[in-house]
Amino acid sequence: MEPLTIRGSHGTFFTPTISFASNGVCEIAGESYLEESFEFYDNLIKWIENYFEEGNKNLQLSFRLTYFNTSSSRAILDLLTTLKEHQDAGKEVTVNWYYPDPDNDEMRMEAEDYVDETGLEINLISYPV
Amino acid sequence: MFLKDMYFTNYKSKMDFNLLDYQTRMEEGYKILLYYKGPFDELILTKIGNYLRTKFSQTPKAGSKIFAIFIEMAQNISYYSAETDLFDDSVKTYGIGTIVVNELADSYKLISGNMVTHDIAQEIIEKCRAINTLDTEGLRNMKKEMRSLPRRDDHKGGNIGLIQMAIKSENPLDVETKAFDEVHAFLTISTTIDKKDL
Repeated sequence: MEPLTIRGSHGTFFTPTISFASNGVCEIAGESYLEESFEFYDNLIKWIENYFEEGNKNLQLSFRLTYFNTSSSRAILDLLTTLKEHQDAGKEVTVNWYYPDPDNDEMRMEAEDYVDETGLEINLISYPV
Repeated sequence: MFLKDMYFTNYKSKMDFNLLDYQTRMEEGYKILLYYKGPFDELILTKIGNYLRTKFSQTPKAGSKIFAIFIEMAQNISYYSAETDLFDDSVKTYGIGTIVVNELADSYKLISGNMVTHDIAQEIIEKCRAINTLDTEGLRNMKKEMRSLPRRDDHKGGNIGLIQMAIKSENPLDVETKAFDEVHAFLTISTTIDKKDL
């Protein structure tokens, strides 16, 4: 599986940094406010689909987002739903959600909402800022 | 009488509408941090967003709330304002509207205003009414419910911007409309962030 990397940028839009490695260790970091949120996250979903289709069994996805708008939040939900489906199908899926402390953007709350919506287990990990 | 007619014939005398005649009023007790009227293209949106963040770099909690609410208001205008259609439907343009950020002694106030059709205005009023009956827990549930609905072709996002504004501000959304003409109304949505929560 070819790794997928997108360097985050803070231009007209805020693109998160994407690092999806061949060994299934993946990370989404930074800020997410995009022109086409669905298109952006659908590409990540496609990568994950292909990764599991190739016979891989384990995937770890870490979120280190400090801001995302509501359009991104809807697209991220689809990404997490995809992971839940693969987990239900017997794949080993680990999701880590890093949130800053103090948590001005209430990132922990966002993760809790995703847990409720998807049924996916998400490890909530705080880091000092 | 429609707002349109008042605007042209009677602008300064009787308007009680506080965004359109904003610049003519000299009220005490607040400071204007931002007043923008125009198209909400991506560049403007990001520039103003970054400006607000920089402005609040010493009070990051206020900054992140104001920034988050601003982005949702601005995107609503950019995607859904009817004003581009009203004056220029020949080229692909961005929605036109106004966003104001005021600082008061004990709060910050964000106000957005733009043209919408009467149908949309009614839809938004009802949505805000539902939002205003809920506490944070209720808003989070509503957000989850809405976000889990299937994607809609006419929405670029989760259709949860208004709910997110209410969650971030921890205050009701004040919504007001004035009929502009037979088709359009001027829609104002405002919300307050209390400094004591920051």
